Amino acid sequence: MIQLTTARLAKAQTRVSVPHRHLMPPQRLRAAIWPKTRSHVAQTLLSVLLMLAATSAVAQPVANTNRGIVVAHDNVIELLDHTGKNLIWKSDGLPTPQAIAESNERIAVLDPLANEARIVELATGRGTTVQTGETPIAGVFIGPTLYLLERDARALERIGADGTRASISTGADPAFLRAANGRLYLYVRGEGVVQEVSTSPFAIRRSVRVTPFASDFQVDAKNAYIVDPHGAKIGIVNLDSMQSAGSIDVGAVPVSFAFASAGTSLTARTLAVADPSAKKVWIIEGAQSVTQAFTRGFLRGLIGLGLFGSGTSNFPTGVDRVFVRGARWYAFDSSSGTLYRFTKSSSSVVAKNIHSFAVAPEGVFYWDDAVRRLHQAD
Amino acid sequence: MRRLLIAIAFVATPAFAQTTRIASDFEIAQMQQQLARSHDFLSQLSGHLNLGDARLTRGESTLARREYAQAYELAAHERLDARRASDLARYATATSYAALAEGKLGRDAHAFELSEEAIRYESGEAKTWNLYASTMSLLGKPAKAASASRNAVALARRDLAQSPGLDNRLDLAVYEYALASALNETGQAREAEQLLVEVTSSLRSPDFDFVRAQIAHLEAFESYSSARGQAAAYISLLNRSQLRLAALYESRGDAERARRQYENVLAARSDDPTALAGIARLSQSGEHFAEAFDANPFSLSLVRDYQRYLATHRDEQAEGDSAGARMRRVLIAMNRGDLHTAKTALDQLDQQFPDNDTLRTLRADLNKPSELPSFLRAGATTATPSASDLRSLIALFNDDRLTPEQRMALDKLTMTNVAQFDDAGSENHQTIFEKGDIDGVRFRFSEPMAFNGDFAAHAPLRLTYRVLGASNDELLLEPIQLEGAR
Repeated sequence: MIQLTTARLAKAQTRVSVPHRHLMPPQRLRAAIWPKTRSHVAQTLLSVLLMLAATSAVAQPVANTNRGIVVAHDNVIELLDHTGKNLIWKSDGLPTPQAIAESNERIAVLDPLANEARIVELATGRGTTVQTGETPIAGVFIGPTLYLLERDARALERIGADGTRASISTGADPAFLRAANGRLYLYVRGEGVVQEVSTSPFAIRRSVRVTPFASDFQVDAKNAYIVDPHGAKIGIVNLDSMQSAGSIDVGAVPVSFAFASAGTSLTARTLAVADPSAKKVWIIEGAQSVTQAFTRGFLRGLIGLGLFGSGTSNFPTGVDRVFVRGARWYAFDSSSGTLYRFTKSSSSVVAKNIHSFAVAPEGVFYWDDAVRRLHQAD
Repeated sequence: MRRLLIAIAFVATPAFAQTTRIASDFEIAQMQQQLARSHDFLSQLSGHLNLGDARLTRGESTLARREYAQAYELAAHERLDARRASDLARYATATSYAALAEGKLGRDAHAFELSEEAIRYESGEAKTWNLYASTMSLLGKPAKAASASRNAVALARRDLAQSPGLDNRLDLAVYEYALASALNETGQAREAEQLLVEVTSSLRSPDFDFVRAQIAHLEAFESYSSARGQAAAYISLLNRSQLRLAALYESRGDAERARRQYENVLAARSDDPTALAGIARLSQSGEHFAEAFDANPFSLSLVRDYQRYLATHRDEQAEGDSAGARMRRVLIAMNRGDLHTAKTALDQLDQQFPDNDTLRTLRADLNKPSELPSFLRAGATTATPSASDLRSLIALFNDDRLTPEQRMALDKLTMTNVAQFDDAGSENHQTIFEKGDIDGVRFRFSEPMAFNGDFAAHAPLRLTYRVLGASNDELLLEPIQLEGAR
């Protein structure tokens, strides 16, 4: 097998390697650029050896549903109750499951490597396996209908409850699929386009050009947010007008985010942004109109509230995913498989060497392949 | 210069010192030296990946896996180190290489996850997509590889438009080559051919005069799967593109164009094993097969091609003591049914090249239970067995796998074949024969037998006989009748 993949191995790698703002505490920055001592190297090696044993395992996706916790592993799918201890049903699964889409009645386990999806009734565990287009990376249910984003087919496919199928073409490298207000929103990463898709008729309705190569894309009822790690910004698209609504500067290399709060009369909607370069989660305000911003600023000044104190949380390793469930905030370091719970001022480790998990009202659930059991933490 | 370097290769690989050089000896020695001298991540990584690939082409998968495992450990260490240092571009690159190494180790699911992680961080880099494509090709997912390669080519074209230069031109050619390879695997041969023609034309254009001059100055010729620097990348890419194009032409029956591409490869490097095998396949010449076997004695595809060739070239001989010649002697012996000879020769090769996949495969072929000839199953009383039937009988006797019922059936069976005897004695109008062969299968009688009449040795004669048994590669026959062949 010919690789010829590394013709430019010696090329400089500087795109996002150096935080371009002075956001890193001096001590941490020194640690990053100073030569390591012998003992530091030895310690590093030891931790790597320990990590290797754990991180070479494969993810077993876990999802929280209204009927319990679903886990897909080893060609089976299991539904356990909300404690994660009692098996409700067990169904045939897929060889290399990577993601689970869920609705109140059904789930769809996606296997992007094998190009398969298994759609299962939550009530009974009965399901069907369907062949998909190339690389189904994401799925969304709207009612009983499943929508699958097939990245390497460059297609969005609709699979009805009766099995009828339809497909529309997207641009190059469609990377994210979200739903809001009964519509679907795609982020086409290679072209830097957000596309709005109506479900009836099943068609691309509107598009807007945004920054390409973003690392995360989320929507709420009013806006779409696009995380640009290279530009250290979060771009905003107003979904009413499908026009750009500006951007928010954040961190050194923001990678992903979650909605941290819905906003009140005193505060705008807040976003928790994972920045692995700075080893922080930034808490920032989301989109708000000029009037809203003025009013909130006036009220805060009037009653003397500060905005989040230091505004950041620190982590021993660089976290690159954030999850919010009510008042509980979690950050995940995908390189080491470490899950943290954090607040505005502190963080603590919830689990180590995990690959996939679900945040439920009862806690965090993850599959431990070593003992082949679902664990609950926190 | 090249001879001197080859001499160094012999020193570095004493196992091959007594034989003709295998083409990849030089690359292996170079990579071993690189690993010993350069300790930076990329030198170590490319060293292990290239060594693994070179080992794999020689049927040394155990050694190859060891190299790939080391490459994975290096990449896994690098990605954690990069993450700790908050160097996310380095993290993405290391993650891509970790995915590639996992792909080479056959750990598909983890390779896929790591590839996805890399593009989450660096989806705007052509290099990341190209590594993604390479990993998907390793996993046997050409459609995913093609899609990723298209992204790589689009980004590389953007980069070239923004900054026209030799590096970006070479990068684009690398990615177009990868795209062509993936398209070819998905059956899109027309587009693959267009791309490969574009790549080879581009590489031969005056744009690359500078690199060609550099290569001439260095007298460089080695080809790597993970090439570093302009010269190595140029040589490797031109080599692989021409080979890919040749294979494409060959698969659609355009022998002339295929031969031209193989000859282009050999013009740059006369011992390229793939090109030599291609020429041998097209020419069906024993001489060319001999050259191909000397370049790589352990290519399984070459072995299979040669076995097909031997089916119509029963008088093939292999002279010399190179590993390639000894390998051909094994195959010739197998083809003639001289299983004992084949096993002995294979044992000797095994001692010198332990743990070799190709030798293991041939041993399995040799040990494969022979089928019972159909005339024994049908309960016939007369038969004209083929050479293959007779070889099966020898194997069945040697392995003691004939049932008592089958032995009884064989005792009742009278067979007739055209035979040639080795030497003849004569007295009183009688001719004395002891041994000979039937269609290449050796036989002997239990003692010299006198036949009425004058018969010549080494001439076709019609022999009717019963089979008594077999010893090593010889059948023991009881003659019933001999007459001149009509």
